[in-house]
Amino acid sequence: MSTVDIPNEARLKYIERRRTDLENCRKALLQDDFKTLAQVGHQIKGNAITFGFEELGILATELESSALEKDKKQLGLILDRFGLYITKT
Amino acid sequence: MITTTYNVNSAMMNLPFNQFNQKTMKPVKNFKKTKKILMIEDDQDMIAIITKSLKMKYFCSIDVAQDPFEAMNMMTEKFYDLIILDWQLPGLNGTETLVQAEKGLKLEPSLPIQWDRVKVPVVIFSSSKKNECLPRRTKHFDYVGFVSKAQPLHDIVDALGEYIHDEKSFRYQSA
Repeated sequence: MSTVDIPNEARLKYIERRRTDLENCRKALLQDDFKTLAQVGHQIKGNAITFGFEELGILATELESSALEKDKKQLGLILDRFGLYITKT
Repeated sequence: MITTTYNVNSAMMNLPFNQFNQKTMKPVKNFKKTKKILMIEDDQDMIAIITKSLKMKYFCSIDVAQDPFEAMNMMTEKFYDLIILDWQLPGLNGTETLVQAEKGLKLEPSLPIQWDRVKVPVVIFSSSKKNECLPRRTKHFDYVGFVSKAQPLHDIVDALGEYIHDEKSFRYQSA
């Protein structure tokens, strides 16, 4: 293993933590808490690619920008895709 | 610091880990001082993977502060060779963090003496775009660069490594 390979266990833990993020985002959407949605999107935008989840990084970018625009309909669709991604990973 | 036990003429000596060639287990002659890095970051995933990778590749010592106030406390107790600064922290952004740290350093009577001698290089480490992270000039900190979080791990480690080894010396554009 090179010094910068990501152990599979770390990748699995990463995805596990995103389940919590998804739950928090769903609650935030119900409460119109766009700040939390934008924060979660921003954080995942930064770390998903690092952990080798490029598609999740793209989703997170959309999550952040839709949260900043307070686009509830789009946010709902993005969270559905977020859930599907986590399930299949 | 991680130490390795080395047997010299039956005398057991404890010396820092990176003074040794890991294959031959002989001391490295041109030993460089272990770089002390402060990483100011609140993302647990990034903390775990980045600190482990940097320590393994560059044999540096890394302290982590997860919020601006913890960072301020650590800076008043210890001098660092490099600060890796997340731009969006709970409560304050990157520039506000270091401006507040400046205030804390000025008021601290038992500050490590190095703080008066040299500026600490700061690398901004963020998911935001570079042009969204404009730091303010301060007395004790010198912004030397920007590394995006949104890239593969090996690219991040290589980019940060250039700052750890002082290979990049250009100045970051300040506000």
